[in-house]
Amino acid sequence: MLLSGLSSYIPVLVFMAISGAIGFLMLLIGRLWRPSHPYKEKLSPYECGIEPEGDAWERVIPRYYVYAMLFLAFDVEALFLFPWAIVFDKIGWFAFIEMVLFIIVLLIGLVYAWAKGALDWRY
Amino acid sequence: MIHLFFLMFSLIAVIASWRVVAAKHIIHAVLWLVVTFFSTACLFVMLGAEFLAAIQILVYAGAIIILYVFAIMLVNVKDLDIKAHFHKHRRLAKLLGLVIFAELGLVFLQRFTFLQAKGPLAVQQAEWGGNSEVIGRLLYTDYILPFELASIILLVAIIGAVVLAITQEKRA
Amino acid sequence: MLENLQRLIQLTIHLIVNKLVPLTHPWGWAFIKALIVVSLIMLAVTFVTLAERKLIGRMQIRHGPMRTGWHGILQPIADGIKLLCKECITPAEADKWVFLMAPIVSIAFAFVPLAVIPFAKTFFITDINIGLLFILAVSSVGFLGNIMAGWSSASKYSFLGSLRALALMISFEVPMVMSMVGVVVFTGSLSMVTIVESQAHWGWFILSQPMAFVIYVLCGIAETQRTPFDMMEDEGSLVCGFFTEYSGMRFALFSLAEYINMFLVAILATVLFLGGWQPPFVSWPLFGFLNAVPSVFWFSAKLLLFMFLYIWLRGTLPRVRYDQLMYLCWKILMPLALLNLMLTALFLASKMNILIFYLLNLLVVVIWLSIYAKTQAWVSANNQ
Repeated sequence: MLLSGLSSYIPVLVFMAISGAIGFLMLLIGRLWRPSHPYKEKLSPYECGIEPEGDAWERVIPRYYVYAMLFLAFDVEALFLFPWAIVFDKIGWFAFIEMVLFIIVLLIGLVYAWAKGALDWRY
Repeated sequence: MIHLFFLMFSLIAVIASWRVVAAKHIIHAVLWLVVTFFSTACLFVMLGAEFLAAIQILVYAGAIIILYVFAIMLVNVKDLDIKAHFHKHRRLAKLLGLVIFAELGLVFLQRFTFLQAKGPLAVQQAEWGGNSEVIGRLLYTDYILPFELASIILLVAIIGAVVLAITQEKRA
Repeated sequence: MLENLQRLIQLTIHLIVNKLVPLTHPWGWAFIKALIVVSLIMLAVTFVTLAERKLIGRMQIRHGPMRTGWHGILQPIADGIKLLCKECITPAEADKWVFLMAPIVSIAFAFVPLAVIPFAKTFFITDINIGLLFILAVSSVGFLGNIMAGWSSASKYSFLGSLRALALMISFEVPMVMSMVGVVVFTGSLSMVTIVESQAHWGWFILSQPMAFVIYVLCGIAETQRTPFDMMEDEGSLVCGFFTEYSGMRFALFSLAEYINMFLVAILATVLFLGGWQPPFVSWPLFGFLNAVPSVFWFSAKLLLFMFLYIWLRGTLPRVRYDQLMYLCWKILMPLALLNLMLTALFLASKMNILIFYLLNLLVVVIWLSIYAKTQAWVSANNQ
């Protein structure tokens, strides 16, 4: 039962509005009951009871960035697979060969990253 | 009705992208950028380009934003004097802004004639059942060479990331 | 009989709703359905938390909650009241607006993917052309609440916890998406309703895609940050991950979002691999009587089975190290997902009999397991 075109997206919009409202409502309801007695020690960041030291926003290791780059490349690859999968049985062998070529090129990338040790998580 | 939605989403997009540029803290800019991507995706859906909308959210709001977040965490933003950098390139920014506005003006003057929907594509979309199927058919029959080239570009991106990682690790 | 009852209930709801809101307008109907889904899911979540505590208690040879009501059956309600009455602390150095918005964002993105799920034969909020991609797109942005909370709290534990969780989530998303493509190759459509219906023809996809199913389950557990892959809640080193600084209702919203995400993974596993609302042996005429049971029963039975698997794993397995997780994701699951995809495409292009394909898949899984066992034996021998 595919609704035609745009009208199938209206319920999605309604659902988005509801799910956004739920969070707001739950926090608002809590506001009626809950106490609020802030003082300095309570509002300081949690550091196992010790005086917090230094800035929380520290620089992180570059490894995170590399994983994000690899993720981006492979994510785009995976998304190319979706339209391919949809039309696969209409195109047949030709589509198969195309995708094998595509995947092999990206596998070279994976193997390269693997061989160079970019995939090992070291601290 | 549809005009109302268009107005709403484009207004959100414009305001959010203004906030991206004007935000004081760089993380706020990134969050507003996500809002921009979302409203743009909604506009794509309204144009019947649902596949493009999903890709927009998945790749831009889902992957590129993560890249931004990690890049921001990589350099300590507090060390950067953002204001000073902002004013250094004022002249260049003015020039670029002028060029972009001129382009927009040209588009308005031409009344979007070059953006008119191509007949065959709309017909195909109706016949083949959906935007993603049309994209699939075109991508894997007519535009096969660009598709395979895309894999090479992705390979270059992967190799670039790996080389970056190794040099940084050696330096550390 | 049951079908008639179902139809009667639907008709009454239809009539009531028709008097209240004009049903010809799609908004009203969508609103009612969305409310039903949201409240049912909330109810399910509260009782799954109870079931989790009871079952884990059983696995650790203790009772779990016993005081509130008969065998602790009122525990979720007591928990809810407690969380509602707790003080919500906003740390002094926190970025206030981002800090406040983070739980709302995270729960909103957890709910939205449910909009395109077919819960029963005739019950779904909507069916869009790009259903599966829509779910992927919305849940891939779910990290936003996480990073907002981690960054705005101005606490080292929150910050590190959110970064670790983020890197883990993005890594496991790639094999997860690839394992789903295996299913889409069969169905030729991204619409969730079509995916469920085509399993009457192909048989449940767990039979033709066993590798994809295993990959999906592993990635799903990692995506929802559950034990054994719960790196962000690594109490030993990160206190409580990205919501260390949250308390009261805000904390409750985060854990609610986490449970809804678990439900989403279980629902997707049901819809993609276990036939959704279809009864078992759907294509065999001998088992036709199973169709008499309402379809929502089959759906929820599979769903609850999967939730039990979640709880079982939590009660059984210890936490995995971070580098081992990355190894699992990039060096085992990624190549396997690609291999599975190639095999599936090869099968479909050659128009092989589906039964031969089932056997072939079984063979591949057996070979894979034996190779894995061999290498593990070799590794442990070399370590000694």
